[in-house]
Amino acid sequence: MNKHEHMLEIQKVQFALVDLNLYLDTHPESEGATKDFAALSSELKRLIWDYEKKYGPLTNFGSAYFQNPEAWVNSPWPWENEKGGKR
Amino acid sequence: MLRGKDQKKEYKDDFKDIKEELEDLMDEFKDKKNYKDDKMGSCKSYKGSCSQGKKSSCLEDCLENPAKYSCNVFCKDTDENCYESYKLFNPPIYAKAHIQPQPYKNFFNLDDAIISGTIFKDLYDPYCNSGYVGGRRSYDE
Amino acid sequence: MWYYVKTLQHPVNLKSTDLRMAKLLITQYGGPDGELSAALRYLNQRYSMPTNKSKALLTDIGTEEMAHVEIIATMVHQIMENASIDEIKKAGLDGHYADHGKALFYVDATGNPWTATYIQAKGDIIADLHEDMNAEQKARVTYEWLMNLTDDAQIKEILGFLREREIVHYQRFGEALMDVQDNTKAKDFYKL
Repeated sequence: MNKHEHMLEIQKVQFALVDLNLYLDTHPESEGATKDFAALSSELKRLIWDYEKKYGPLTNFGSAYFQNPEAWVNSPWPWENEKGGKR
Repeated sequence: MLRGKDQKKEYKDDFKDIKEELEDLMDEFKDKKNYKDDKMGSCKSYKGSCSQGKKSSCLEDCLENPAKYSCNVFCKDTDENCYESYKLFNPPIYAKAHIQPQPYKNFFNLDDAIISGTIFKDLYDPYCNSGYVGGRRSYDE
Repeated sequence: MWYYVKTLQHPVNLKSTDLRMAKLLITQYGGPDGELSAALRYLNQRYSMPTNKSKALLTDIGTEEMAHVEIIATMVHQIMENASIDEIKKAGLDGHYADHGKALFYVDATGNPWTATYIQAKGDIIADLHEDMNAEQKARVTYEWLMNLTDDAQIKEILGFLREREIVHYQRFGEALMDVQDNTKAKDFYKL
């Protein structure tokens, strides 16, 4: 898959994890939710590892899987329009 | 896109059932002065899963159908109580808000989740069954 | 401590050049029921919360609201970035332009600046959770009004996403409130 599709996959899993995290905040004893949370979390880490290897870090302050300060600075920023926005 | 239309019909049917049960419940309440003691009678005559000791399925049941009579009966013998709705009555503190706790079930797949805004189908636009359409309330539905 | 993730929670690639809509959308950026209000409200309330569930919930929802601030900002920015001066004048954004050019700012739909009077932390968990539930409902309604004000499918989809998030947050705050109410003996009720 291309960069855009890869990012979309990350966004889908990431979003599910956010919703699940909120559920677990108020239902910490839910076994089903805890299991799914762990499974999705591994999936997200795998997706991000693959993405960062190709396109550069997705988080700052040294927390990414691959450090690349030049890519951190110069890769597109999230608010920029993918089609024909200013760079 | 998503299964909004099917869900709406389901919700309408469920809403009618719950509405009828609630009306029964309301009638019972009206006749009781001291509901704590009077309900002992209804506890004895109640033959639901709680009085048969199946507490775990009872909990599931009440999370799914919170308006069921058995989920709102208060018994002095707390083993007779379904779910923990007796907490609503003992101690009888008023001026409390109530939000139905949400069971872990009925999920969207990942593709639909990010479009709809949640992974839980039960939380997807829950106001539809009351006919609440963007600022208007339509009681006719 | 916060790290930043270089992506949006929901993709935003707008084709729209509806500047009139940009002027309205900004209310969810710096307005009374907007995402910034939500984020600052929750992140501030969490310090004095007595239960761990509420500390966790306020931190997590507060963080998510900051991600929503970013989504609104992106929408406004993308609509505005290629606008001509004539288009800006026509949309009634010349006032904003004089003060801020094409930059964003924390204002509501009529240009009133954000103020801390939009939020509250009463230091009482019952009152604070009720305030949070109310805030989520107000935000949900604002998204509904905004959805009524546009026909653009892309914008409507994103607003629909954000609206649903408000409903979910309302449910979560409600559950946290139930946890407090149900687990408090009558005589301790007022001590929270």
